[in-house]
Amino acid sequence: MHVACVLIDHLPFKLEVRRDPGLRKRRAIIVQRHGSRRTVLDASPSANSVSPGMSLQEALARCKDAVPIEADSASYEQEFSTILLRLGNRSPVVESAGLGCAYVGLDGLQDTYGNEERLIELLLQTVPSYLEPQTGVSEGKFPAYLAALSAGPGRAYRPTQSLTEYVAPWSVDVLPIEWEVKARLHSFGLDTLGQVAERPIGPIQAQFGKVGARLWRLAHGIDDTPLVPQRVEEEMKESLTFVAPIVEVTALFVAVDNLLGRIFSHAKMRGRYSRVASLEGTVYNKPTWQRRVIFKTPVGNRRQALFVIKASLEGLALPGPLEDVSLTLRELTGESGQQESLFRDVRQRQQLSQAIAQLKVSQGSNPIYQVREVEPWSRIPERRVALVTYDP
Amino acid sequence: MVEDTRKTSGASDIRSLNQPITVPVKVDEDGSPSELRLRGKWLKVESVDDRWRIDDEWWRDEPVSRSYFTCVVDEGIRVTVFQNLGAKQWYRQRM
Repeated sequence: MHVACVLIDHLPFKLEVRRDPGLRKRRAIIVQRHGSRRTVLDASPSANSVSPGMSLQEALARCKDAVPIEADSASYEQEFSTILLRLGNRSPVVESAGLGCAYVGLDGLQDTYGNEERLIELLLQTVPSYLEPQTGVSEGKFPAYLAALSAGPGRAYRPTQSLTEYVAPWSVDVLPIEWEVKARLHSFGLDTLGQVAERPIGPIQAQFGKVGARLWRLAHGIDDTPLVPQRVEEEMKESLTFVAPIVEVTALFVAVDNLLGRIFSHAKMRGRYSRVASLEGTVYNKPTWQRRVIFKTPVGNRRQALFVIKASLEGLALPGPLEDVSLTLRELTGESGQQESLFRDVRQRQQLSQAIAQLKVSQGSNPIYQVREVEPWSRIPERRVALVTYDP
Repeated sequence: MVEDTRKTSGASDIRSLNQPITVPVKVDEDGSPSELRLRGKWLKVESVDDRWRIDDEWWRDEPVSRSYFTCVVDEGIRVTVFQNLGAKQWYRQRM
């Protein structure tokens, strides 16, 4: 399969430089949180000794003058998603291989675009020039990736020699395998793909198992893994900017209600239900705030969606002044999204349950009580029955 | 009454019902109610249909000791009152 690899090296760092051009003159480490751990997501190209996945402590020890910056992952993903969408406008087969790397299927598109060079040029144009994309073209994903590494910023490269000859000088570190396997390859003295290719497949497979067979084929420039196209997800999105940044969650509810009204009044939402709502907001001087609300049953109207979103955000403390908010309804379903019970009493109980749940949200606690016998045998009349909250 | 859901209730989910409320009462010479003050006015007790006494929870510092009277007041209204024999306070019992 004829594949192009569009590679944007150091994408998070380049996006941060766009926000703060002064970072270009300094060394920066982009840090992400995993629970209590802080690890490196990306670093300046000049911080050679820092690699993704490294702990922040180790990274700062290796690069003492580097500035740690908290990752705004939502923003990076959003930017990359936009690029993937634009690539999707050029080819129906686009696969994301992680932040900053995408594979594009080129088969059958020459007639549409005249020639391959024109198509590659258009692919490069889908990425903003400040991100300096590199494009590699070859047969198979792995050779295309290596070709992209060979291309200069804003340029494309296609290997002219045979793929076995082209991949031979590359280090085994470029292989898309676990680092433990790479370490073992080095320990066996197999430092380049050419050295791996010289060995017969039998011993490699015996030593490394299934991974061994794959890396042997990659060492010969053979990658027949299929391109898995992105699933284009239909979604409806609306956003608004606050006149003044908000700090109270009650003001956020008003905004969410407004956005839901806009979305559900859209013709495309008629008779449609959504399973997931995503909220995003720009927080002054901090990473993007995000919240995902999953509806237990798909919702098809504003009131229902607002009720669930409010319940999910109840008691939430915003991380800072929110400058704007966007609401996206995802996983839109077809015309009918709800199945009711056949039995009337079950339906009534479900309706009652929903009504009580709504009251809980608005009142703060369940205001519905039922009379239950507690000590019906008691001689003291007020001990015989009590009011107990009703929870169907 | 709503159907029993069989769900376990928490302590904070229970409220008392039929709690007695204090009521001004005038008594005759044998200690029975002769007038009750209800809804801001004194009502004459036309007859006492029933009377009984309960003594319970003896283990408490203040055991429950009550003398009950079922009274018929103006227009045939039946009201149950009791006197807390410890504090000598009259209450209207809501059943």
